[in-house]
Amino acid sequence: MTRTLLDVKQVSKRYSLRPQARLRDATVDTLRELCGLPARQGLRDGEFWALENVDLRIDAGEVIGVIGHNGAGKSTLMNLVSGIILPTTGSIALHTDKVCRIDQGGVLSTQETGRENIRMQLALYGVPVADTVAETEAIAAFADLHEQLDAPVGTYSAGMRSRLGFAIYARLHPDLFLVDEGLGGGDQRFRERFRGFIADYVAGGGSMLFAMHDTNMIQTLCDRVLLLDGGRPVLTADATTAIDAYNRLAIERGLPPLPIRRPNRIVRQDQPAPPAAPSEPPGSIVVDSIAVVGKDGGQPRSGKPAEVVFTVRATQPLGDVVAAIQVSRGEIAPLATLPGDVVSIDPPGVTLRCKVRCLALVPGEYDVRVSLYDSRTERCIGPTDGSGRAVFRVGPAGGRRGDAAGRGGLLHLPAAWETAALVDPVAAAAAAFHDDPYPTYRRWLAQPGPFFSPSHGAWIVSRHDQVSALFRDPLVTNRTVKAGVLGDTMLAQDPPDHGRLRSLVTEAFTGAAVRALESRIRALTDEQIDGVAGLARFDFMEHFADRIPGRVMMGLLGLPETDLPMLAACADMAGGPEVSARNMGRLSDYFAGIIRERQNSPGDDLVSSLLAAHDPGGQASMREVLATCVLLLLAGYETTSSLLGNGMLLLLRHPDQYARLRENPELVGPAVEEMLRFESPTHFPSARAAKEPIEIGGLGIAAGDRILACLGAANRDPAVFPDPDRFDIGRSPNRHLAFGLGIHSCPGALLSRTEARIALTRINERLGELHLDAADIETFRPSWRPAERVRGLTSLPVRR
Amino acid sequence: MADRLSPEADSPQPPAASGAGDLGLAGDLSVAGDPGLAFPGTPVRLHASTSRLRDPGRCLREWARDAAGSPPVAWRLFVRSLIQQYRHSSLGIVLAFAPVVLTALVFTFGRRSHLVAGEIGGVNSAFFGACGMLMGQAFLEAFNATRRLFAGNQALFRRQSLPVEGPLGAILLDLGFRYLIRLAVLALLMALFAVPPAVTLPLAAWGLVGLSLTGAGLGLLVAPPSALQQDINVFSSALPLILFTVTPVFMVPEPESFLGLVHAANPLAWLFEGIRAAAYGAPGSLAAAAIGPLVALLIFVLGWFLCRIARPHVVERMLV
Repeated sequence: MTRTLLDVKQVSKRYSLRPQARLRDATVDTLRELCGLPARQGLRDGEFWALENVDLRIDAGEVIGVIGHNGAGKSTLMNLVSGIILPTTGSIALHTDKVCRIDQGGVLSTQETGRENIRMQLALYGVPVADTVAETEAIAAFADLHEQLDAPVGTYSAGMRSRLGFAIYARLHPDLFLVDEGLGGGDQRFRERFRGFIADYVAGGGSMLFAMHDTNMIQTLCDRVLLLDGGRPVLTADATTAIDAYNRLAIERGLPPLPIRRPNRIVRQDQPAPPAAPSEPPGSIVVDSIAVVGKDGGQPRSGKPAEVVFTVRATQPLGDVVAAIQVSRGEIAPLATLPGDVVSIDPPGVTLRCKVRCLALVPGEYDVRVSLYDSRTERCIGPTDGSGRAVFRVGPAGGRRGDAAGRGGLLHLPAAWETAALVDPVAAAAAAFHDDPYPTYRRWLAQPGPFFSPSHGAWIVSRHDQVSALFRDPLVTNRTVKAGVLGDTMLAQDPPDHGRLRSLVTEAFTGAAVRALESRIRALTDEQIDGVAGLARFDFMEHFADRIPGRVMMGLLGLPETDLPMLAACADMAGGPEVSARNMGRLSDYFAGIIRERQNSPGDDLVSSLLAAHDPGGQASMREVLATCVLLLLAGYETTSSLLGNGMLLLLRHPDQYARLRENPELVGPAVEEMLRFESPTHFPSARAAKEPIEIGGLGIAAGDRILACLGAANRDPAVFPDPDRFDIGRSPNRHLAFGLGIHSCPGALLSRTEARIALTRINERLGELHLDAADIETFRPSWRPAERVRGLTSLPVRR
Repeated sequence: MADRLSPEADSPQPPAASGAGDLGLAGDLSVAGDPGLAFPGTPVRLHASTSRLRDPGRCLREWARDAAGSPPVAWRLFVRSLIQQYRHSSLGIVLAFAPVVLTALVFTFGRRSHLVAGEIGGVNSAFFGACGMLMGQAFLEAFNATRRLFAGNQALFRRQSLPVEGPLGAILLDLGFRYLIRLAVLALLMALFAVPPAVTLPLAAWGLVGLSLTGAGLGLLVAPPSALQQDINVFSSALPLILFTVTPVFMVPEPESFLGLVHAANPLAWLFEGIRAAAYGAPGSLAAAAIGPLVALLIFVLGWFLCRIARPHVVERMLV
């Protein structure tokens, strides 16, 4: 009798997108359960169905695949089957306790040694303590960990961690494996080994629920495949049909389809032949005389036509046979598969010839293996004697292209070369991103979670809820900058050092302190307006956006305004690492001089206040005082300057909103908030790093990995901002993240907002309507600062 | 012969060919040991939208099975906790009783400077304060350890269907370890301050168990919200101050004073006094030391039960 291992009946799962409601929701669910009530039905605001009405059954020896695009509900299904969470409707019955989940994140602790991790994992899977000593040694040997076994896992490479995780799984023999995207990391050899392990497990009668994008494995292993789309089951079918349906959905949405290959199902040791297609015992099938030859019958050459010729000898007639040739090299098996057509073979046999128009292999030695399949049952029927293998050597292509240049890699790809114009696509893409990053951000936002950017060497987090969670996560550190003056700022500190340094400056930015500055800001703005009174055309950045924040900061720090141009040039961090380092050095030298001056004659300014906090037992060291001064200048000047410039550009490009603001000056507050959201001055705040393994958007991030939050994207997240690409000065609510969130939120946010509010109000009152000084507003290309981190203008020509 | 994909010499053997060194998972034992869960047609595990309490029998059986299967996990988590506490600390185990020693020192200097009364509750005030700190520490450590049941193990809870019994067992082992240290410290204090032990001293040890269980039980009751809401942490940082005020940790208020009335109404204060009474014959109710732990056990089991029920609901929100 078939033994059912897993029975999923009409399972749905509801999630909430509102982190602030999680305590309430968890409490309500717990209380309902304590009262014997079923889970609440229906959706509330901010909730969605991650999975709807899924039915699934896995019998012993069955392998079921789950495919779907990101966000389809695969991981939710895995979490439900694992029992990590409970379904909102329906039920999941597991008829075995021997269930093991393999996922990419793993649960290895970086602080513990390899040995301790192995013992922990064995304990989690219920292995008695007495058995763990012997098993630990076996696992360590299998993972090739020797001296490293007693070193903390945090010191392991990603490949070593993957090997260790795999070695542990390989020692467990559950009734049911839950595989959620397999194991990440490791080299090609490791991945092949993992595939081999899974294939052997299935061949040995193991059962599996399998969520993976690897179509090769899905088609090879799965009896049936469930296709999910937006949490809903679309169909359950054989692998090829399901992948085909997946691809139709992908094409509809402009996503890349999955490759489909000819079915080559693995056959289990205990698998009976399907009754629908009974076949005679195939008798003896021998494949021999395998030869791989070039066009002229000699040695095959890279990129040239070739033939695989072999003989099949059969003792009985074989109908509907498919021959397949696998080419392998070393540990990469198969490197390529050449499926044949359906043929019939009568005794004593046939010679089959497979012509390859272009042998896409680099010079070297290869293995070739011929297998025969019954096309109706997809079972491998031969060769029956272990024959069907040969070795062949591919020679160099020869000719004018030169052989030396074509020896590397694995494959020889036939290529038509052209001499193209001098267009650098990377530079072109970078320029396009620099001009308008929002199409890119929209693609990022369409993803359910973060992704790793090799160019940044960091995970990029773009969704509003995930950025918010990241900023509040105590397992995330800001200590990513270790060298230079920035490493001493509060930006690069965690509690308690962060709080200690932040408290030095918070007094300067309280509501009362900023209110006291309002008249000064108004006077400065009026002075700047007086300066352009006689001009019909002027640069808004030069006369307002750069000057007002600069002069406010100079006043706050008690610095002479004559130094502003020099400091402004140093504060521009867009010149690359060398220029930035040089500028940072100049700023440090400058402030070191100012500090010495203030030590001798303290004044009524922020630098003197900071120095007052410094004494042998005081709050801050001299290095920290210096770093805080530099940070205040950089943060207070550059971001507010960008806010003013970006804000004015937005008004000029949206005349209806500009007119609305002029007619309703009381809207200046919400207008500034919308400017901050729509064209945030900071797109990438300083990088964070995970202190321990964390999860963002269902994706595991290893300890030590760098994480970059993209505020520009988060502030256009359609899940939070309806119609996010519309500039609306009356938008409410407007929960943008332009000033960050959590302990590292900008302490000078209120001052920045106040400066923008007063400046825009006074400019509207005194200068009236301004116009973009460009021939065509539609085609006007603003000159953005050449920095990815901040988004601000270098100039903004306007006319009255 | 069946064709195999990518056969490799070093591939692990399939289950059917597993050797003597291969492992079976815990289900081998647990299912066999619980025939009520293993007969055909009855799932071993059922994850449903309906309340688990609708089938009390299954609920209790699963509880018992999780508790029986938790010792290996509890032991490893306990070892991990010890490593995290002591591997990177030069002071190591000293930290476990440092507050008690410091309290004794402060009171001793206070006495010599005439800032503190010579005697409190009929014994040397330094001994009284150190004992109070020892008991207060027992309560607070238990409370904070169980309060962080979910928050402190979220990496595990988010990846595996881990019954709460594993981490809870680790916490109990840790508390047991600290309890033994505390007993030794108590004995040292009595010897140092020449306080003769009462014949009911074993009852004091039992009362100390009750104090830890009370803290652990109350911690379990707030563990689910604590994992999801930071405000609980703010409250917890103020808890020692509240505790030291409403219980006789460092002082014995006048019975008629406001604080005296608070102490009289506070069951935790009864337990503190009961332990002192049992340890060295101070005024207090021995019945509190005897019965208190039983009540604490009830609170603990209630908290344990709540966390079992709340686990999937809390973990679900920790995923978001």
